[in-house]
This record gives sequence, structure tokens and C-alpha cells, in this order.
Amino acid sequence: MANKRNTPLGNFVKAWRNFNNKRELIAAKNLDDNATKMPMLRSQFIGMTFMAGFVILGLKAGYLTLFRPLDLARTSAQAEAMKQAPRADIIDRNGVLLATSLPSFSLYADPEKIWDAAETATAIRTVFPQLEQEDLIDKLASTKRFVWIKRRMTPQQKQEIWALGQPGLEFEEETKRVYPMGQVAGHMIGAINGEGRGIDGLERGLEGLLTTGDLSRQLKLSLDSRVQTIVEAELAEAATKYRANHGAAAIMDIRTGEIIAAASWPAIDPNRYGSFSDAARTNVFNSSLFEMGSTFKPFTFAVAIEDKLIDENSQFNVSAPMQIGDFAISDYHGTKSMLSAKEVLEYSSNIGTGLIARMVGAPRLISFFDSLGLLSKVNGEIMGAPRPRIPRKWGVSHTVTASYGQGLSVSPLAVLAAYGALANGGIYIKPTFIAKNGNSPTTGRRVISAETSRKIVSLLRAVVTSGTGQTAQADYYLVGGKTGTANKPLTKGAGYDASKRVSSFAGIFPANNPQYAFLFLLDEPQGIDGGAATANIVTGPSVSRIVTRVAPMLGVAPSRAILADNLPANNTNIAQNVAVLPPKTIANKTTPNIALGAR
Amino acid sequence: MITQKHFFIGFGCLACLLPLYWAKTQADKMHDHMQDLARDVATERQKVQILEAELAYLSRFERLEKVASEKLGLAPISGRQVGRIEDLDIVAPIIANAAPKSGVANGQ
Repeated sequence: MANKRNTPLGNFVKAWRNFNNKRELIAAKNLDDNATKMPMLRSQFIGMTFMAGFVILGLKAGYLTLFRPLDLARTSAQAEAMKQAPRADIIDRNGVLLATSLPSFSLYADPEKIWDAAETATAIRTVFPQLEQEDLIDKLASTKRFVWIKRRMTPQQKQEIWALGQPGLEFEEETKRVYPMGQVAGHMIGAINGEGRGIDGLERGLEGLLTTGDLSRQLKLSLDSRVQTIVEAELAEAATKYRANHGAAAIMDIRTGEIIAAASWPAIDPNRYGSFSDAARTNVFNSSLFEMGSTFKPFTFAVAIEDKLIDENSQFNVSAPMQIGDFAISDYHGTKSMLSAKEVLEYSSNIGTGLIARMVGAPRLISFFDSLGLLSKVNGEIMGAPRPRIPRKWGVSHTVTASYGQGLSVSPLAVLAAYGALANGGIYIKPTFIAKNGNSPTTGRRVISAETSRKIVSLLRAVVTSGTGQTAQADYYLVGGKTGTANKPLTKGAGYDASKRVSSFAGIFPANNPQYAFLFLLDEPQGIDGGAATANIVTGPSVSRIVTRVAPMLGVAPSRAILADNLPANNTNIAQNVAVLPPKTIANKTTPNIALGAR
Repeated sequence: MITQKHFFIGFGCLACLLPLYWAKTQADKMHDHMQDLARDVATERQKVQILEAELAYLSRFERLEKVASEKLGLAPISGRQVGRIEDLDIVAPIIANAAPKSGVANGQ
């Protein structure tokens, strides 16, 4: 037992008892010598305190060692990647990268660590000469501990700043939104601000979709960057040639509502969004309103044919101006006194169309325009789509003028979507910039019968073969469409400015099997050498070139009749370099399009 | 009172805890290693993103069109080069009794 008491704890207990005994002895002897009592008390107290501390630390160390959970979630590479690039990439329908987020560095300064503000400012300006010396000195000499010097530098700029060796200059890693294709679809894609939030285009309209992380890091648009490039180039060429203020051009797949290409002129590069004026940033295709003029006429024809009020041979007397109230309606293209309905559209007769509108009546015309999406906002994917400007109260004159596209203003996007409904068998499909999954069914609402749709396509084709749209004839493909040349309303007061016009061309291709709708518009084009700037002159040739270029890209096969008409002169088969086997029965009923050669 | 028995029990507990401590320490090291790897993966992904952006920049349609035209002599595809199988008799009519130019034997 004696041995057992020689443990440290036993010694401590023994000492404590001795201490108590001594204290009792001292008390008994009534000693007042505190010089021996207090040091012992202090040492005991300190010993106990240290022991308690060690016990607490030991317990904590044991807990941390044995019970602390591993934070495995943080090790996920995906979580790490998500943390660093929170905004999804944007790709086109073929997977071409249109927008991505890349790491970048921003330069800031801690003015307290700056030795010489002027010297540091001079050094910084060797890398960023565009920065003002005085502004830099003000920032570097301020009393703050943090001032931005330059946001989102290139890696090379960061290296050059680092090589300056100036104290007080630090780098902050950030994310930079990059648009590798430059101005391709710039207006549609839009841009983000310094805080990483969308401020224009789809970047703004689809902000939630791009930042929720539900997209597997990519948002697939319906746009085809190849077609987009061609459409933008043609628009730019025409707008420059005819000195237009603005312009828009687009192509839509009428079977799905997917926008394949959508351009606005002047073009912008989202990489330099801040350097463009407000006018240049305007998305004409989505956000501008125009009185479209005669491109509206097919809508009036559609409702009249649907209601069996007319057929293509119905006759209309267009010999005299149509008097409505105080004003008279006349024709640009009036050549004969009596025109068939087909000729009314071919020659773009306002009088004939006005007569048809009277037969249809205001309520029916309004409800039909509404069903085509012409009287309400079309799309919510790109912010800024305006409501159309429509008459507050529809009188007879409004009905007549609306029938040929005057007196109400709509966006080019709305007109494109309406042409899709006229030509796809009569189903209005909401246009979209997001690629549709091939397996998901496309929904829409019927606005006209398939038979009426077929008749309208036939009429549109006639406009291009023998009417005002002959300049839009394309190689190998049948184009159908309608020209529109409309005077612009006066900015002040009622009436129209005869010197300012909007020229447009809307239609479909191929007319033998409509698959795509197109629209091409120039705002205030100027004729060359004082010549006319009507739609057939300023838009038709561009439409022709666009269809000729993009239809093969989209896999559209020419009609058999056109192929037969365009055989080589000697009609020899230069491609026959392999043996031709007897034809076999093809089990697959669908006929694929095939590329027949490289050139 | 701490006895020899208590001492051995305490020592036994300590002996049991040591492997646990070792395992925990190893797990911590692995955890750190995984974090390093995750960071490397994120860094590599960033590099891939940069490369993809550069590839997209170099694949701009107008640039490729120019290069394909100048270097390879290619031209834009024409409507004549796209067709349906049932149009082959127009696009590439069979020439009766013509020998194949490539030398491929008939019927093979």
C-alpha cells in the first residue's frame, strides 16, 4: 500500500493533507507569519490552474483527433470548378463556343505601402498608358487601404506589372466573360457588367438559367454560328451600301420555332460592350418597332382565304384610289384596272389589300393579327422586347391601313414568327433562341388550316417569280416572300415622312417544302446616285445570296425540277467513277439528305 | 487512487487509440492530397477552358473560309451538292455501259 501511495496523485493528496495539517497547526499555534503560508498557496493554485488547462487542451486534442469529421464535399473537383466559374458557357447549336468565363487578374493597390505615388503611377502607365497620371497619383496617395487600379488584365499585363517590382501593388483573381467569336451574334448574346450580372441580350434574359448551375455548365442556343456569320455579312454589306441607319436580318426554323440566325446592324462586339453607343447597342431585331408595310399583306390574305372570302382568282378593281375619310390610298404598282387576288399580292396593291380587309372586317382582322402574335410582346428570352404600337381604337381607316402594314408598329421578330405560322401548315410556334431537344415535341396553336397555309406559300412564291420580289430568286432553291417598303411616321405630328422609309423582305424557303422563314430589313436606306431604295432593290439581292449560301449548309435539298434545270451543259456524269449496282429496296422509309461532293 | 490496474487500463486505452489516431492522420493526409488533386483538376479545367476559347477564336467562320479558300482551294458548298437519294438519277445519271473510272470491278 505504501508503494501505491507513492504515485504522483498520492503524493499530491499527501501534500495537501500535510498542508491542511500544517495550516491547522499554525492556526492552533496562532501564528501570524504569512510569509510561509502564502507562497505555498500560490504555488498550489498555479499548479491546479495549469493542470486544468492541460486537461482541457488534452480533451480538445482528443476530440479533434478522434471525432472531427472530414469535409469531403470540399474535395469534389466539380465543386471546386463551380466555385471558380459560376456562369455557364454559351454554345451554338453545333457546339461552337460563343461565351465562356475565364480566370483573369485585377490590379489593386494598398496606398499605405506605396513609397512614391508619382513613381508608381509612372511605372503603371508603362503597362497601361491609357490611365491618367493624375488619377493614378490621387488613388495611390489616398488614405484608403484598397483602391482598384485596373480590372481584368490579360496574363501578359499581369506579368508586366509584377515585373515592375513596385511595393503596394497586389493582384486579385477574378473571372472574365469572354466571347471568342467576337461580334458574331453580339446583339443576341449581350454582355455582363463588372459584377458578373447580365445587362443585355440573352446574358440578361437568361440570367437565372446561366447562373443556377443546372445546365451542365453549357447553355445551347438555337443559333448556327455559320449561318449567323453569313447573315451578318450580308446585312452589313447592304446596310453600308445603302447607308441605312439600322438593319436586322434573321432566319427561323418554322418547324420548331428555333432562331437559326438573328443579326442587328450596326454590329457590336460584346468583348468591348462599353465602347459602343446606345444606338449601336440597340437590338433592332428584338427591340425596335417598325411599321412594316407590305410584308403585312400575306397576313390579310391568310385570314381572307381561311374564311373563304377570297381565292387566288378573286377579282378586285384597283383602277381608282381608295377614298377613306380624308385620305386616299393609291398604289405604287398599279398597272391594270382589274387584278386577281394573286396579282394584288404580286404587284403589292394597297387598294386591293384594303378591299380585302374591308371584306374581313376589323374584329376578325384584329383577332387574327393577335393570334399571330403581332399585337403583343413576342419573346421573353431577350429582355427589352417592346409591346407593339397599335391603334387605341380601330376605325375603318385603321383596318385598311393595318392590312398593308401601316398604322401599327411591330418588331421584326414578331413578323418572322408570324411568317413561320403562315408557311408551316398553319401552326403558330413561339420563337426561341434556345436549342430544342430533338425528342421533345414542339407545341404551338393552329391559326390557319394546312390548306390555307399551302395557298399562302403558293402566293408568296408567285411574288418572287413574277411580282415585286424577283430580285430574291436564289440558285437551286425556290424562295417565296413579300417585299415591304413603308414610309416612316413623322417624329412630330401625324402623317408620314416621304423621305424616310423602312424596306423589308420576309418570306420562306424552300417554297416546295417550307422549312425556314427569313426576314431582312433596312431602316432608312438611301438609293444609290439618287435611285430608288425600295425593298426589291435594297433587300432582294441580299435575300437571294443568303438563301443560296445557307440552304446547303442547313442540309436543304433543292427541288427535283431545279436540279433538272441546272444540269451541266453536256449532261455527262463526271461523278461516275465507281460501279453502279442495281437498285435495292430501301428499307428505311425516310430519305436522308446526302452530300454528293466536295465541290 | 491510481493503481497498477488503472495504469494498465489507461495504457490499453492509449494503445487502442493510437491506431485510430494513425488512421485519422492518414485520412487527413489523403484528404489534403485529394484537395490538392481537386485544385489541380480545377486548374487543368481552366486551362482547357482557355484552350477551348482560343480554338473557338481560331475557328471563326470567316477566318476558316478564307484559309480553306486560299490554302486548300475549297469553295462554299452549292445547292447542287446536296440532294436526296431519289434525285441521284438527275444529279449523277448512270451512263449505260460506262466503265468505272476508279477501276472498281462491277458488282463489288
